[in-house]
Amino acid sequence: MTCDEARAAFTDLYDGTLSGSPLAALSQHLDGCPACQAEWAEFRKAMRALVTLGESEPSPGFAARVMERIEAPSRWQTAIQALFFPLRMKVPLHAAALVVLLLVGTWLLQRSPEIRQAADVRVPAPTARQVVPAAPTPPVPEAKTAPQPEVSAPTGMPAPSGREARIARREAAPRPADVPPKTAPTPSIPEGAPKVEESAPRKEQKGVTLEAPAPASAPAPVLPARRAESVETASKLAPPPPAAPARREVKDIAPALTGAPAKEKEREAALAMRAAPAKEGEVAPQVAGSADELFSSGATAFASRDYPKAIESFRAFLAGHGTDRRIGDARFYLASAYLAVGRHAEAAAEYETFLRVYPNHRQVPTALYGQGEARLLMGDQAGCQILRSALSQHPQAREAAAARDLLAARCR
Amino acid sequence: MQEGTPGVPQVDVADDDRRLVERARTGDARAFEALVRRYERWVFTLALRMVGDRAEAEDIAQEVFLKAYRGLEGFRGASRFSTWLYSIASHHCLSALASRSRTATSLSFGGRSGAGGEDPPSPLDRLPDGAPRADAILEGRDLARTVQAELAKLPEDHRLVLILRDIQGMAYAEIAQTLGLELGTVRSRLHRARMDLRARLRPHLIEGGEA
Repeated sequence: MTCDEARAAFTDLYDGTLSGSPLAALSQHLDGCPACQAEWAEFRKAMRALVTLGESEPSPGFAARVMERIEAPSRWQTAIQALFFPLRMKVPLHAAALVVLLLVGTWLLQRSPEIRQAADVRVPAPTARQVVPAAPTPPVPEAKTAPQPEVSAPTGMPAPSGREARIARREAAPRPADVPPKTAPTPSIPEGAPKVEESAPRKEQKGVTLEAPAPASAPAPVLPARRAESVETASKLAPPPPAAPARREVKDIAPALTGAPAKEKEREAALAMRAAPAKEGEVAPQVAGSADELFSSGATAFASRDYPKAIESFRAFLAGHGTDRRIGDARFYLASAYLAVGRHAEAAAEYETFLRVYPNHRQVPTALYGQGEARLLMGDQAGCQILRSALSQHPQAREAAAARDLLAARCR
Repeated sequence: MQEGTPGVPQVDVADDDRRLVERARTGDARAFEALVRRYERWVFTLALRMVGDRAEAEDIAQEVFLKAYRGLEGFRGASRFSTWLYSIASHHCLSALASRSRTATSLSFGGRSGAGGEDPPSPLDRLPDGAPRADAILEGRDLARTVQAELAKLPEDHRLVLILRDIQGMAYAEIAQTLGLELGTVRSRLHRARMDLRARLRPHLIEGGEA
């Protein structure tokens, strides 16, 4: 028997399925071959180590949670059946709902010129013979005219058609009060509030410069976060606006646009404004870059475990873009990066800030464990209490097992 | 299944399972709950050893039981309920790992996986080289963690056979039936997995002496 043949039989030998002459041949080979003997000993050690993993139990209440998930849909079905199953109730309800929908739709169509106008925009462009006479642009005195938004398409984008460009110019211009808007305005902007107007169809958004000619006393616009994101992107790609009192930086209205809690944004903005150096004598980061560049750089560095670079990028991000919607994530990653490089005091401080400012952030459990660990590793026994608290609040977190270990080792 | 499979009593279990399955089919949720309690450790252990993360393993185990519940109508009793359930669990673990590897790297710690199919770093794992790692302090747990880490590096189909055989204690024939493989394939995958794991654990076993 060769060594290869002997090693190929290890599994059978281990499982006890060898017998007779194959077993005798293998035993004879092992007796005379120290290398295979060593291999066989290692094999058995590895198998013993594997067995030490043993079985594990799911967390308490697992079966009850499974049954909850199983039974949940049936409860819904029961409720729906109870409501709608008898035909004598179902038919009139459906009919009534249909009538209500029709009435509401008709009423909305009549009341809302914006919807009609939006429908008009989708009509195919007229042929040369069907040119729609353009509504005259209201004559606005030069001095009162807000700067015209740029409607040119960015490089690589198709230029808007003549009709689209006309519509875009018309919409970008201020309208007299009695002229209905020509495109659907943002429904969620309250009347009298400053309007962030899209000066071209959505496809051309990136070329738009943002205008905000509203008085400072007007209430801030409330827009969905997705819209805010696109407006923000547009503002970044637009050329820098000339200084003009009527203009307002997008950043100024970003908190309202993102719909994030104002207090949270204000607190974070104040923190970012201070941008105190993390270490005594350390200069605040001067890394230039847009919010996207810095965040992306930090994120990439973090993912590739280049924590010093991640720290640099996220600190610059925090210092320069205090109102960005990713500010919470940035602070969390900054704290984690500090922890990773052993800067425990800074990690603890950043986690503390993160937990204070973003008590509902999805990373709170991880941050809590991180804070506890950072405290412990900097020699602060308060970390024990933090870890215990984390374990009681988030026993299912992925860090729980390691935290228990750390508690057992450091918090006797 | 081989005697002594962890967490699953063997005596007359198959008959009792069949009765519980019949009751569960007629809408008796308590009967299915009894099946969940009987097999939760087995399913969870398999998922945990396959994915290496408790939270993800619990999610997988829950999904396995939901699938089983929804598929009870299709279970005709040609095999034992346990074999049928193990088959669902095994294939669901492989699917979860496959979808994990398809998922783009998520930066979120809440995300479940990194690009390499391993868990993303936790703050407790991100201490610099040379610093005292939290887990290094705990010698008792070191070996299990090392084994789990090396286990996670094996090819998934090999890992599955190794876990079914050496941790779950299943017989070759039941593994073959569960996974729909030939006996010879089970044996060859198991042998390659064992030899691979032996090679990966070698440095740890030498440093640590007897495992």
